[in-house]
Amino acid sequence: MKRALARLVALLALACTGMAAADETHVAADVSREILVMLRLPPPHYRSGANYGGAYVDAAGGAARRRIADGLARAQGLSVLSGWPMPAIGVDCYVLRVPAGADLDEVARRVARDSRVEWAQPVHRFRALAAVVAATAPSAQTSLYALQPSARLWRLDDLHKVSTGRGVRVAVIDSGVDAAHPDLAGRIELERNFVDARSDVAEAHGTAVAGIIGARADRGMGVVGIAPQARLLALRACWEESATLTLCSSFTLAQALQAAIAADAEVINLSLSGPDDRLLARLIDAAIERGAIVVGAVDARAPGGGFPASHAGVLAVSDRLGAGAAVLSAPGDDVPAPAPGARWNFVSGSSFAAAQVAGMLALAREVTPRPAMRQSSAWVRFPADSPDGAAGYVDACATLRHSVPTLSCLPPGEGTARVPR
Amino acid sequence: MLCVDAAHAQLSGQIGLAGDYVYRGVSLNDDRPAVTAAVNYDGAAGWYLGAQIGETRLFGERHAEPLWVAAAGYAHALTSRLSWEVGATYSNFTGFTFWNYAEMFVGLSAERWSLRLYRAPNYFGRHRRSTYLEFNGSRPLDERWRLLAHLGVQQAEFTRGGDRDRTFDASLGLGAKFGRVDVQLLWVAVNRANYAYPSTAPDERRRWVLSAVYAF
Repeated sequence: MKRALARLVALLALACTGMAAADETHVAADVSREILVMLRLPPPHYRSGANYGGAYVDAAGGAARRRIADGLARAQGLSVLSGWPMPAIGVDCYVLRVPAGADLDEVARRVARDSRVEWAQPVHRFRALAAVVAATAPSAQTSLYALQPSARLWRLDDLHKVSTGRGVRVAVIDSGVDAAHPDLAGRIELERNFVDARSDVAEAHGTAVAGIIGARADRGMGVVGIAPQARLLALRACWEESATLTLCSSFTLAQALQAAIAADAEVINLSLSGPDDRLLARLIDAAIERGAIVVGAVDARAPGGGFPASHAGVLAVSDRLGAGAAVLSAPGDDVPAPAPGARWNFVSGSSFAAAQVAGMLALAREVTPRPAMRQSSAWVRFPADSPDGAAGYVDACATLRHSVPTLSCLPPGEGTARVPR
Repeated sequence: MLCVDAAHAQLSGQIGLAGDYVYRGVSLNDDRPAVTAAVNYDGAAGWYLGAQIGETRLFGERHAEPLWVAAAGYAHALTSRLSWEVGATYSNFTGFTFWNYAEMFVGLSAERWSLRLYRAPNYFGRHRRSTYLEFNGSRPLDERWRLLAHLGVQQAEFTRGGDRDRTFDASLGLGAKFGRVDVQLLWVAVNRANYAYPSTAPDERRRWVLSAVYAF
C-alpha cells in the first residue's frame, strides 16, 4: 500500500515537472521558412485507457501524432517547431522549419506524399487591412459618437433600442486588444494569444476593431460599439510588424479559428487578407457549418478581394463603393476607434468597414437566432438618391427590419427612425 | 484490413496510477491504488484496436492479479462534430478465468461527450445479461483544466430469467493536462451495493479517485 502511494506521489511529481515542458508556444515572428503538416485525427471513439470511465482526452493519440511528425521532419531534414490540434476539421497541425535555400512548395509536396499526411502547405502571411491609422482624435474626454459613421448613417442609438447584440459571441481574430481601455473595460469575455507567450498585449489594429464592434455604450464619452453588449472573444493571431503594418500567419490564424469554433462564436471577424489557404478554408467551412457567420475584409489590391473575403460563404466587406454585387460596402474612412493606452484614433480601411458589419450581425443575431444575413443579397443598400453620401452603403436599419418588421427607417438626415417601444 | 492501412496507423500508449481500480462505480482493487497501462492503435480507415491492463484484487483471490481488457472497433465521422462507432471488448481475468466475459457496444462520440450502449451476454461470467448505457462528458475550463462527468445505468438479469436489477453510477470531477500527463480527481458514486461484481468492497458506494496518466 505504502509503495503504491509512493508511486502515486512520484507520478504526480512527474506531472508537475511536466508542466514546464507542457505547452509549446510558437513565436510566429518569422514564418517565411515554415510549412504546415496536417496529420489525421481519428474520429473520437472508445479508447482503452488507464482512467476511470475511459479516456476523456486523447492525450496518447496526440503523442503518437507528434512521434509521426518528428519522424517525418527527420526524414526530410526539417525540424518540428510546434503543433496544435484542430479537432474542428479532424487534424493535428504541425509547424516544420525548412532549411534556407529549399523551395517551400516543393518541400510541402514531398512531405504530402507520405501516406500518413493529410496535406502539407507553406505557411502564408496575411496583412490587416488598415490603410491608415491616423492622428489621435481631438478629445478623449468627450463623446466621439457623433463622429461615428454608424451614428450618422445607421442611427445607432435607435438601433440599440431594438438590439445591442446582448449575449452574442463575436470572435475578433486580430492583433492584441487593449482590454483595459476605458471603452473596452469588462467587455472582453475571452483573451487568447496565439502569437507569443506574452499576456495583455495591446495593439492598435485589434483594439480598434474590437472597439468598433463592441465598445461600451454607457460611458457618455469615447466611442459607442455597434454591438455594445456582445460577448467579445479577443483572439490574438496577428502582430504589429511596424506602426503601419500588422501581419498574421496561417498557423496563428488557424489556432484562433479553432478557438473561435470551440467557443461557439456566432460571428467571426477577419479584418485581414492574404493568399488562398487550404487550412484556413477548411476551418472557415467548419465554422460556417456550425452556424457561425464569417466576415472578411476585402483587399482592393488583391484579385477577387483576397482570401478569406473571396472564400465561398464568407461575407465580404469593403470600405469602397462598387466593389461588386457580392461585396457589402460600409463606411471605412476616419472611423473613431479606441487605441492602446486610453487613447482614440481615427482609423481607415476595409478592416473597419468589416468590423462595423460584424457588429451589425451581432445586432441581428440577438433578435433572430438564424439571420439570413450570411448572404450579401439579404442586405439592403441605401438607394442611389440617398442624401449625405449614403448611397450604396449597407442600410443597417432596413436590413434589420427583415428581422424586426415593426422597425421603421428614415433616410439619413431626416430625423430619427421610429422604433417599437 | 488493419494491415492494409498500417502505413497510416497511429500507435499510442499510456501508463498510470489510480487511487483505486474503479469500474462502473465498483472497486475492483480492494480500495487500493492500482497501476494501469493501455495501448491504442488507430488505422486510417476507422478501425481501431486497444488493450489495457489493470491491477485488481478480487473476491477470493489472495494476490493482486492483472485484468486484461482487449478492444476492437470501427469509428466513422458522421459530421465534423459527431462520429458513430461499433466495437467489442473482452475482459480476461488472469486469476479466476471463469469471470472472463465479452461485451459489445455501439456509440456516438463528439469532442466533448460520448454516449455508448453496451451489451454483455454473460457479464463477469455470472450467467447474467447486462445492458449498460453510459454518458461521458467534459467541459474545458481553460487550456489546462476541464470538468468531467459520467453517468451510467446498468440493467442486469439472469440468463435463465428471474431477478432483474438496475444500478446507476456517476462520477463528477476535475481533469488537468500537464503536457503528456493527465491528472483526474473524481468523486464516484453508485446507488446501491452491487453483488454482481467479485468486489471485496461491494457496499462502498461513494469514493474519491485520484489518477495520473502519462501518455506516450
